[in-house]
Amino acid sequence: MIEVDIAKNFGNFSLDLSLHLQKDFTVLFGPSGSGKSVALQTIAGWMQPDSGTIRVNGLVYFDKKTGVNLPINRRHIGYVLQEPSLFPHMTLFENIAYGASGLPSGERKRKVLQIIERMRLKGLENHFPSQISGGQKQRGALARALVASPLLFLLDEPFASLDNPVREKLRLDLLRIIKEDNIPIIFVTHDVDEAFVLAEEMVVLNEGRVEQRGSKEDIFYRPQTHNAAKFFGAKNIFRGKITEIHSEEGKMTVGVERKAFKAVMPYRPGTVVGEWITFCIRPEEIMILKEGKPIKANLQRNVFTGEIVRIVERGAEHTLFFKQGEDDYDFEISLSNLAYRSLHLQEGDRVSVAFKWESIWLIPQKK
Amino acid sequence: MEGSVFFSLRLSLQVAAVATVLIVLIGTSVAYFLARKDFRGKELVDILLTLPLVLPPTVTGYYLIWLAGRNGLVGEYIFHWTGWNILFTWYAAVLASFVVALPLMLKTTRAAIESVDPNLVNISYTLGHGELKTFFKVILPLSKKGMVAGTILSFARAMGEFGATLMVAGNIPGRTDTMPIAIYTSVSSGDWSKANIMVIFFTLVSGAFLYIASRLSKKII
Repeated sequence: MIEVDIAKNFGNFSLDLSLHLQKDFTVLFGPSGSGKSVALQTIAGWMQPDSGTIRVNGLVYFDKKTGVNLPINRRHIGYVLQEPSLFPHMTLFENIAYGASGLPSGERKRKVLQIIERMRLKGLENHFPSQISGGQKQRGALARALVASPLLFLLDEPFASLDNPVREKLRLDLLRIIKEDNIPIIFVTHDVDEAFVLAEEMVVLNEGRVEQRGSKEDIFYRPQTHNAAKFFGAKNIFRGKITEIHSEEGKMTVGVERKAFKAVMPYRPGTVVGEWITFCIRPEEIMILKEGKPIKANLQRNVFTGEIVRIVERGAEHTLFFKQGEDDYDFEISLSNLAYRSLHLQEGDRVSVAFKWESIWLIPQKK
Repeated sequence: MEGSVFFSLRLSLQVAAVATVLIVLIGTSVAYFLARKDFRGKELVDILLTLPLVLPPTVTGYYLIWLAGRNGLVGEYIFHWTGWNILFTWYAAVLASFVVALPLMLKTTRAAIESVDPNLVNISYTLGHGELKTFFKVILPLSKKGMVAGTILSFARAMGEFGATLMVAGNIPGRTDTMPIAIYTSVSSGDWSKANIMVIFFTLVSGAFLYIASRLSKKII
């Protein structure tokens, strides 16, 4: 159990953080400058908050009121940074052994060799950091942190400067090791895919504050704020005014601000005609209808006809920009390459698009 | 004649060696605090300790008399309790060399310690090691070359110290006449052959020191 309630003012930036983490693997997600790294540094004691408390498994690390500020070397934290931080003047073995001091030398050696084996670093023991690859350096840094048997792991974008195949391999290694050792982890990233692969619990940070927390599904499909929706690629985020409510049919119609369309969505009890709401539809939830085929019942409520203005190829998928009104575009649509190829689309084509009304997510209004 | 040259050489080496040991111990500690700690008056401390680098040696010597003389700020107490005064002893030559050469050690060592990646230092703490162990296992090895360069420069400077030494240790043949002072005496009394030997020796030794120091400080960058 990790409880962090802290504030720190940097003049042009302030951090006001409240984290209460139960799960073993928490991803701290947010754009650059959202305060993710600073959050980790205060937990590790590298930086001191202006006020508040930090507790890990009931152990007080910091408490402004009682004046407790546990020294860094007594916090038992495993910290791995984005930039390789192995000691350049020590071999890989010496680096890892540096994390295992305090043990009798025989046991220490055995433990270090065991970690080297587990982190697949065998044969590199006598190499200096300058002689091994970026991925091996990060494995070494993980091994060095792990051998100290920390209470908590803080990983600050540890794989961000590695190339893709190495990164994926390291992620899997990390997940395996967590299962084996059962050490709670706070993992910082600004990579949506990475966040989704790793997180049990996710915390979205923005401008030094918690934007939303929850399971990854919660944040991905049920963002609680406009920013959370934006960070996780909801793309189609609209503000609109409720124009009709048919509560007996359980539906309502929303006229979208500055757009020439209306969307029909499930009635949200408590809302009234004339109220402004914000909603989003993920780009992969919008379908392109094939001509001549009957439209499925659950798609019929929201069908729009217009033009494909732009097609962008993005590796495994294509992004289409669709407009029906005067605006640059109204919807961003994401298609798998397979679906894209079967449709034979070109920029300028006129098509009809539709989405299920369950795909619409109403972002709760801020109080 | 030969005997007094050897005495001066031995005295110069002795003074420079003792001053350098003190400079390494005190200079490294002070440089560590200046590089890694934040405290009020930090830059003032740096400026005060660096002043002898730019002040005329006579001014530095004057301050030392004011501090350590029989009626000096500190010297008065020492004299009162022990009846001993440092002025006009070879210890005074050590004191002068120490004060004048210390800034060279401070500057190079502070820069070398500041150039150590702070993340590495914090990682060492995070791995459970205290400040002392982190200093010896991480900071020292990574700033070693700068420190060695600073040590050599300080030694060379301490060997060559003249002005402040003359003021606080005087020119007592067979007691406080270090080589630079002996050269001055030889020249002013027209003993050119003696002066020549010492000047050539001094130039060669100092040149060698500078060469070693510059090779080492290049490597730290």
